[in-house]
Amino acid sequence: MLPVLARQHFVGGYRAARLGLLWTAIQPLIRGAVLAFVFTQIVRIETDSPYPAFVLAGTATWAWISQSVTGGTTSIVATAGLAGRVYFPRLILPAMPAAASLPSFGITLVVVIGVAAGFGAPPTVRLLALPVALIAALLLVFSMAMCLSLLHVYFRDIGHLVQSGMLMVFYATPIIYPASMAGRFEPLLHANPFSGVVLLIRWSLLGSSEPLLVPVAWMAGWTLVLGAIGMTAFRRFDRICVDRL
Amino acid sequence: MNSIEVADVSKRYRQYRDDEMLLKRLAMPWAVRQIQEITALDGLSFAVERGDTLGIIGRNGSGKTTLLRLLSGVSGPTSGRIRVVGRVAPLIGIGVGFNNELTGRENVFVNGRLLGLTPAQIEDRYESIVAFSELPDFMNVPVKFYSSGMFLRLAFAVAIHTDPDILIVDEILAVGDAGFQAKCDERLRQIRGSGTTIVLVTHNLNMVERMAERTILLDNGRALFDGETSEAIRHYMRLLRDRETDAAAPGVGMPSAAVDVSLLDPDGDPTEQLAEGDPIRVHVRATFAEEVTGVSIGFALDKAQLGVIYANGTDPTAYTATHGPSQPLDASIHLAQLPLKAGDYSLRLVLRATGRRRPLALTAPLHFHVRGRSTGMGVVDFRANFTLNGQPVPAREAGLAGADEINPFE
Repeated sequence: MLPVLARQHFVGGYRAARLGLLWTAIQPLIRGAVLAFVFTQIVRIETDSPYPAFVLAGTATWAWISQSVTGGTTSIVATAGLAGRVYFPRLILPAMPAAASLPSFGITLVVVIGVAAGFGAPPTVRLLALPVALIAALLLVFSMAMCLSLLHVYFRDIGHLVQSGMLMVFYATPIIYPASMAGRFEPLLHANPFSGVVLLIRWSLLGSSEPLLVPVAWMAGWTLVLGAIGMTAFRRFDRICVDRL
Repeated sequence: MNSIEVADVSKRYRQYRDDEMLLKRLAMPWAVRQIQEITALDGLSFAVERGDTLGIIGRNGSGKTTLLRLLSGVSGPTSGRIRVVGRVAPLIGIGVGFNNELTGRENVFVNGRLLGLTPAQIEDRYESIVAFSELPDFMNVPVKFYSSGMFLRLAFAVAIHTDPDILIVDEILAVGDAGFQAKCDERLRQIRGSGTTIVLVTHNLNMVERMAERTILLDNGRALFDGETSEAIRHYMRLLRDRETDAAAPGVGMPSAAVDVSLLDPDGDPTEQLAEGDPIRVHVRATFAEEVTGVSIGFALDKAQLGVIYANGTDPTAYTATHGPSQPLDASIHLAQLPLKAGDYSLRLVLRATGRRRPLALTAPLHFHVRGRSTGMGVVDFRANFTLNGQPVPAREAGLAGADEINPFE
């Protein structure tokens, strides 16, 4: 069921666009390139891996996360036409955007690995841990989207709140700068659930030596708590949430 | 064995006047919310035996759609218990889940999965679905290039190939042209004969009458009647009439006469149902509040959405007797035979007296149902006979959904 819907979502969305799959993969790269230019040529940020690769890995991950979270939030309301007429486990809906954009995220990551190698940071054995990092990221995004999508059914302004919220959280995530630069705000940065995702993926792609344990622990904690809340809520609202669509 | 059990099921909806906003809730928790609670189903209980066909009828807002949503599992009851044994395929909102960018073939697979088939099952039925839809040349074309008729045909073809244990049918059977319609009917009869439980939720009384042995009449979320279909239809007609009598009374001013109208079957018994071609008699009994002279009586036969199909009345100068509170009028209108085709009709009466501009009385519509299977399309049965090259050729059979949908030009 999930693969079917994800495929439909994905193919349906991008077949109309000429560049198709490539387009979604290229978008975060363009953004990364701009940031790389700004922060190496205009403002300088010191990182332990080549900055272009550092920022690309971050923006690519972020693009996927924010798409999945905002898309997951509105997922139930957006499929009102379908959900209101056919029953299927509603849990599928918030998971769909993350799953559907995984292929294009994969392509972006391949490009990032290539860029990193070009800047003198070839992949290491840690790359083998990438699937684990991706699964952890998926779980976090899914548990978040679960809670938010149900809330969105009952409170329609959640959609806007999440969108602006993600914009702010972008700067509270070590994407364009390393967490160590945050100084006394570093613990706060680590508490941000997305920091763990970005750091984990960057660690596996670029072999950076940023501290990992604390942010990953936070990420796991967020995932567990939100996941538990989301599952409980879905058990209760699975069938009756459609009444408010 | 029961395949559907509904036990004391109620469903209440809360209706909010505005979309709820979290920011507003947090900022002004004291703000009064305008909530209206609506009871869509109120302690409904029934069971359907496996393989039976159940009709569900009722006026708009009687709870039909809610019941359908609960049976198909889309929504859950507020209280009570629903047990549905087996796989349910709702033929509701046909084409839901179709994606315009995907090809016909891809949509068959996506939609089939949505309706509960496994990929292997869809593969097995694919040929049959394509053949049924009559679109073999278009399966690799994105659905957005389909005409609306093609789209519906494909969607219906998928839905009807799901071989469910329980089929829930909404008002969707009037899809496509006459030929396709006939195929749908045929398929539905097959499904009905194969032990599938069917629930028909519809306004189309003809279809219910032909397909369902048993029908539930819903009103205000309760089962007003549960039993034999013809009996249910009779109750439904009576319900429609009563509601309109209630609604019609005020506004006209004080009627100067009280009129009691009844429709009599060929045996002279009051009825709400007639067969095509039956003679009918309308019996009218009027009592007057004051003395009037030169009473005339007129009537109109209406069909929903069409308006008046026949009206006639007495010559006001031909009957000059005087009536008063103690001299009621007994009148009857006789139609030698009813050339109406199967469907739902209503009858209105007007009573006038000479010298008065305002009518003495206007009656609320008396609803009645005409049953039958005559061929052809329209309101009046002209009993067409065809001869082709000297050979008498029978007319085309009416479909399940009633002859109205059969138009030879489409």
